[in-house]
Amino acid sequence: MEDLEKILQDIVGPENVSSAKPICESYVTKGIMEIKSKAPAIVVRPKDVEEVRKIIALANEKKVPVVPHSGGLSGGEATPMREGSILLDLRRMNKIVEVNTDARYMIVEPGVTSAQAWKFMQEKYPNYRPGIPDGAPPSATILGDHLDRGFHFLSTKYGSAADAVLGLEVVLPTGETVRTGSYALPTAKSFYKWMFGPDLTGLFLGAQGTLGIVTKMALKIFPMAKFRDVVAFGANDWKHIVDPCLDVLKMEFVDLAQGGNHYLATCRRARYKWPPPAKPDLLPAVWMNFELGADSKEELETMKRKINDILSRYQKEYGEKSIFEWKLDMRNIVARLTKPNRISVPYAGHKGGGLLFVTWYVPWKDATTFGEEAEKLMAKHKFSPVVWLAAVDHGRQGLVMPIVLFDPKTPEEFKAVDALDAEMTERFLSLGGIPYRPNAVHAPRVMSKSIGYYDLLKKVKKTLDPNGIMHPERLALK
Amino acid sequence: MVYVEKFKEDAYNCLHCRLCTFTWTWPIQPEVWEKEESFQAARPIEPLAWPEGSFQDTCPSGEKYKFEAYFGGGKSWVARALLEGKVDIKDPKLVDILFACPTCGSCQQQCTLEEPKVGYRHRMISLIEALRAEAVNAGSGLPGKQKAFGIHLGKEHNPYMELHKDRMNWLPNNIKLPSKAENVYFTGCTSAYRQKELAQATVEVFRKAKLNFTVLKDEWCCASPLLRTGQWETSWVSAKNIAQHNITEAEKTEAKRIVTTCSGCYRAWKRDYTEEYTDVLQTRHNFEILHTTQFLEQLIKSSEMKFQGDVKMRVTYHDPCHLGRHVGVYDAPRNVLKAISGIELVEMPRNRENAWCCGSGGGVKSGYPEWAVEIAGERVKEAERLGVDAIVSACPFCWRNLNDAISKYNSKLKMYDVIELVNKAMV
Repeated sequence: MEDLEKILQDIVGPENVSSAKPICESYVTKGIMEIKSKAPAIVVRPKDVEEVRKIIALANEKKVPVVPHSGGLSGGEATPMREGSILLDLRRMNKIVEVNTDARYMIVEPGVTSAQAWKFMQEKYPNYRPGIPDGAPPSATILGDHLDRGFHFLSTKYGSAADAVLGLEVVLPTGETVRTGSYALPTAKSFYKWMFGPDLTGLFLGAQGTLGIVTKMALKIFPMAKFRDVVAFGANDWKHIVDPCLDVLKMEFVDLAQGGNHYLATCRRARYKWPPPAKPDLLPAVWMNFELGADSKEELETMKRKINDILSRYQKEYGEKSIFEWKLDMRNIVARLTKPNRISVPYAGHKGGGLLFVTWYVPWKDATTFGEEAEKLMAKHKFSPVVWLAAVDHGRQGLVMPIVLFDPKTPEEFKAVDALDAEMTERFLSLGGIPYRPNAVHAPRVMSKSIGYYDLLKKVKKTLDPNGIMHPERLALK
Repeated sequence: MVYVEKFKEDAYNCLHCRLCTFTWTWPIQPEVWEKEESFQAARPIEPLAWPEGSFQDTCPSGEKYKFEAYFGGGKSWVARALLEGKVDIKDPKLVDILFACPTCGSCQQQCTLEEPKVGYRHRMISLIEALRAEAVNAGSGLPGKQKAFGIHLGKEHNPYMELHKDRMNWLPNNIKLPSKAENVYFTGCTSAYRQKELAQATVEVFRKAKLNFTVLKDEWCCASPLLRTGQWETSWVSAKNIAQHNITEAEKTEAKRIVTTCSGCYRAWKRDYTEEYTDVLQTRHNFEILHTTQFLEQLIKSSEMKFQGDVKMRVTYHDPCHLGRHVGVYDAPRNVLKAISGIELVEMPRNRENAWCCGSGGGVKSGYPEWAVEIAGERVKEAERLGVDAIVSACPFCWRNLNDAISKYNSKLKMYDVIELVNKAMV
């Protein structure tokens, strides 16, 4: 390892390499998306694609595992699962390479944060923004969120962040640099997702760093609405919220639809405790916010009127206590419309600090079942049943996200989280759900049930990464 | 681990979201939300467009050394590793991680786990100081001149390698102060030995305002440099003895309140002696503790102090970390400056809770002197962009380091303490 460190120092400079135990331990995160995090053996901070290429070629030659880490906001997912790994801290690579407001894309390096991109666009191109993750802290990177198929602030309208990716620059595990989409041609702009053949961009989206290091990404930017507002539905239970929301979503004008159960609010800033607090009178049992954007006041009012018509119709069917407009105060509206926001972070504000997002893609219509099941299973395992819900691509998909709050000071709590996650995985798989960012609990269970998918993925992995150096253990790829 | 156990919750409470790595300002400041009227006044009539946040670098340590361990969140996870026996307290790199930090508290400020409403505050600064104490306890830590000043402090009661007998040399011979008075001016080592003009200006202002005040007959260092660098109870110096001595001396004056122009001393008297370090210092007192700017603000409000002079100057105010983030005093110095005719106060982009540190605190000035001035240099450049004549602060330690940066980077800015401008205005 000492020889390796010396060569790495020659590549990136001694000040950008460290195998010091405290430095390596500081990258560990047991939470957010994964709790099986291990400290790397060496941290390296490359400045550009050429340095990344040399590092990967070296790691491949020495057969040392490599884990990419941009903002680290995937938590344990962005840190090694195996001892002796090199962690590539990509935050030095933080250039916004290009913005094109005609073809409406931008190209970013891995270290560009939501905050940086938002501020840059605010100042230079005020009419456009990239799809920054919603709810995640502004420290989340644009590239990481898109690569991991994240949920961005216009995902209800435009689909997951991965759907906005137009092309990639990737350093393969064997050290070659490739580009995908129209970005692959030196003469072409990054305006088109497809190349001459199959979509190779998609190969790396959701790969969790197992197939290469993405060093640049071309992604869509979206127009900013001139008028904005938020309206919300409240309901007395899950079954009364899903259909009214689906009718709203089918009109295909909502920017962002998200909500969840009342524990989202009551456990958000409370200290960890069991049992969780009872529902306060002022909160609905479940709710959904609809963020709306329009180019004119009239257009915005029309949207609100149409939503209200749907609400009225369902109130006649369900009763006014079952589904109703939840009047948000200005504080909540500002909090929702401020981008980037950091709404998800305070969930760790309970005494304890452990937090694991266990997110599942489900057909919107089935969100009720998944929400109810999540609440039951969390209560069974004695975790506060905090469940968040969002609509992607106008409700073609729903995201159901149980937020597991735990005390990370005891190994028993980690085991309890695992037990909950395992049982929930089996149950949700049987109901037809798809894990959003499969962790070490989900991946083996999901892969083994797939129809040929896992075998194909293993073949792709073997072809691209013959020595298995890229983020081993992720996606059940050894 | 003797000291860190107390802050175990804080180490484990870090989610590792990296919010601590930059300032994040809401378009409408959260504190405004608390005042419903103000918030309602700010409520837009039209449907909301896009409220924009603001983002800037905030962590001097992280921005310098870049590895995660140097940011607040990284330090929390290092603390976890230490508590779990994965890291050796004597590891030289750990020492650097712990001590190459001005403990400005911006990471704690940016952390959304700070929830005063539910009585929870993520104690990042305390955690770092406790980790330092563990290192010192294990015979490690204390880079640069930190141990040397600690040893000297044990003998001569100041960290500046000066003789204790010279401590009162700043006070002009013609000024005689009573042994007992309503107010005690606690000078502090920096004003007593280095920025004497600030101590002299304070006394001049107090005399012009005809205040009933005195100074301690035998003032020692407030012990802040020891508490900040983990030299709590060592074989060479005892922070407890020092703090207890000062309280005893103050009690002899029968004063009601202690007033200090030094933000470091202010924090020590206000928080360390009575709340945060009472277990280490075994201290308690009943004095009202005021920073000079708070005292002056009160006098201005009650019309006991009036300014006759005009001080024509465009200035920006630098919030000292020990006054601002550490204790929460932001308005008093600004209100005093605004009360002076001719002063035009312009805010830097990073102000109040989000102020960029001057770089001298937390032992950085003694442990990493060149880097300390580098940190101050960034602040000077931020001020320069405003086109102001001067930076004004409310701490002699900030004054000194910012002035060092002004010299090093050939800036045309002037450096003032609030008390100096007040003195100018009191013709």
